[in-house]
Amino acid sequence: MNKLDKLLNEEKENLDRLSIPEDMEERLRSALNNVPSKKKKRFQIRVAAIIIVLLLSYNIDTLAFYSKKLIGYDDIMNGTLQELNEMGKGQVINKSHTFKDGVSVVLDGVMLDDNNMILFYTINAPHGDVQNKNINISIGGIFSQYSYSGSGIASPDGKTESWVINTHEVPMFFEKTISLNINYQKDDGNYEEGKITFKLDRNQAVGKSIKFNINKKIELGSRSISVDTMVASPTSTIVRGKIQNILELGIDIIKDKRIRPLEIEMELLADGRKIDHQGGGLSTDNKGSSFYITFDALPQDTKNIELRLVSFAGDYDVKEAIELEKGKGTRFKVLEQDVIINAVYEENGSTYINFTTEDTVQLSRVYLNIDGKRHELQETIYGSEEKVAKDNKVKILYTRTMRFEGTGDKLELDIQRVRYNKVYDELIYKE
Amino acid sequence: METLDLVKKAKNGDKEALLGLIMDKKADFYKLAFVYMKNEEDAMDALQDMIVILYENISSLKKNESFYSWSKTILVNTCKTKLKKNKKIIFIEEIKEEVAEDYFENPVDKFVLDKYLSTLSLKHQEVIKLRYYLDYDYETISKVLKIPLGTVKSRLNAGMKILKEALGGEYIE
Repeated sequence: MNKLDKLLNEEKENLDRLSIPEDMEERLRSALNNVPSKKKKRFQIRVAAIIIVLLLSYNIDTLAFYSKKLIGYDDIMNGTLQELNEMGKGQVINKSHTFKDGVSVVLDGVMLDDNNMILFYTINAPHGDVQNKNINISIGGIFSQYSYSGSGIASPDGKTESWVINTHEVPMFFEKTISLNINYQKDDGNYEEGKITFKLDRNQAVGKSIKFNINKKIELGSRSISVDTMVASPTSTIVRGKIQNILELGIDIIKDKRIRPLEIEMELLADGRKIDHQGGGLSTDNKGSSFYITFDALPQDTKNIELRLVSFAGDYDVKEAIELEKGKGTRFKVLEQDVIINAVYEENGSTYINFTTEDTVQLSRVYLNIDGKRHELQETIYGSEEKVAKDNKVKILYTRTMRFEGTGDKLELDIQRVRYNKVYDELIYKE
Repeated sequence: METLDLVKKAKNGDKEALLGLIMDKKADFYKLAFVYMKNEEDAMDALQDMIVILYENISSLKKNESFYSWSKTILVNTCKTKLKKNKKIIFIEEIKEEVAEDYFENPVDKFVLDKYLSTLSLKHQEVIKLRYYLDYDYETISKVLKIPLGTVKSRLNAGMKILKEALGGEYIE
């Protein structure tokens, strides 16, 4: 063993002798306890998913339908589902499939509205360990497969029985016979398939909602978004809109003026009271970019509603080249956002640029052209944050340093994309 | 099997299961954090950050069997972020005194090693430390640092070569 190896080895032995802090477990536990419990969070997501399900408009006349209450799902049902269940809404199926090893899946019932189909089923494992039974459910009709959008699962004793609520896309209106395809992966890794088929009774769908046509265009600098509809059901309220239609999107891409939306924040007030925000989503597909935002249900006797745009965060295409000089600071605006260059310097073959912006502003794609040659950003070194009060608002100024490899005389900061959050506080709809 | 059970529970939001997984290998985690952070306080801070990140992201873990390499990758990244944030570059002159403690039979050797190791780039340093201090094999290093096996080997060779050259004659005969 040469001396270097010996040295390295000694260091290893020292490390092995290192005593582990006695309070390690306590400290990790306290760190974890400071995080909001996820069970709850996940539950909310599920609930939101389920709510979305229920919510959306419902044009089918609900018959005063009474069937049978589903039992055992209380832990994973939110208040609304529970109420519907109490009222006996939904379609009772009560069909099962049993696998060779005795594990079985029982489809207890189905709830359906215009937007989602919810399945209630239980998994039984007579030999225990139900939590670890790997069972996947997919839904198919004669014409198509219907995608899955979320689920909740509860297994109070963790042994023989689990209750599951799955949310799926609504089958096409002409589909009558639905099959539940069950894929069971056993402990040895092999798969066994099963199937439960049932006839969907659309007269037993649940829910009824009110649709508001908003159709309002909101200008966001040089671009705009449109808020199209708001659908309020007994269980929740969903706002939908478009950020760009496909034509605008195409033009924006050609012009290098695309906005990649990151977050749209809205506020819904019912008789002046804020309604809880539950979630939302953004998507871009062949129709363009669209968004939805989900709020809790409107209180029963709401008279006035008010929907406001609070803020919009997006990633914007820009094409700005800013000349920089070593040892000299400067300031400029990109899409109305202030960028202050504090210092430009060289060190160990790299060029460093120290700069300040509001903390919501990010140069999301940036290069440094050194003597006409493009160099990529290597890293951003965290600096400091400073709170400043301006016009009764607190802003946070964030200073950091970008490092680019290489040095030279002619420097040009090539900004291709900027990300920022803009506060609007604008009325969208009032009634 | 028990590990996999705990991972499943952790995925369902069970904090104690997650804590159990880490505490089962507490020495591994602590040493890994220590190798990067070089002191107890910062190592513990990194571990606390790590467990929060694990908790929030465990649902994205696809293969339950990969829990340990996944969580170690997160620990390493947490350490690196912390090092960058704190910009806590401890110059070798400043740790001289600490070094003279019971660490090494010969404090001079430790001093020399530290000094030369710190001249290597972080990517070379970290493979050397993981390989020699923590006894990780190439595959584990590759998984934890998320770099190809070939890169692990070439970084290790390159790093050791620089180290040997820097240390000179008496250390490599």
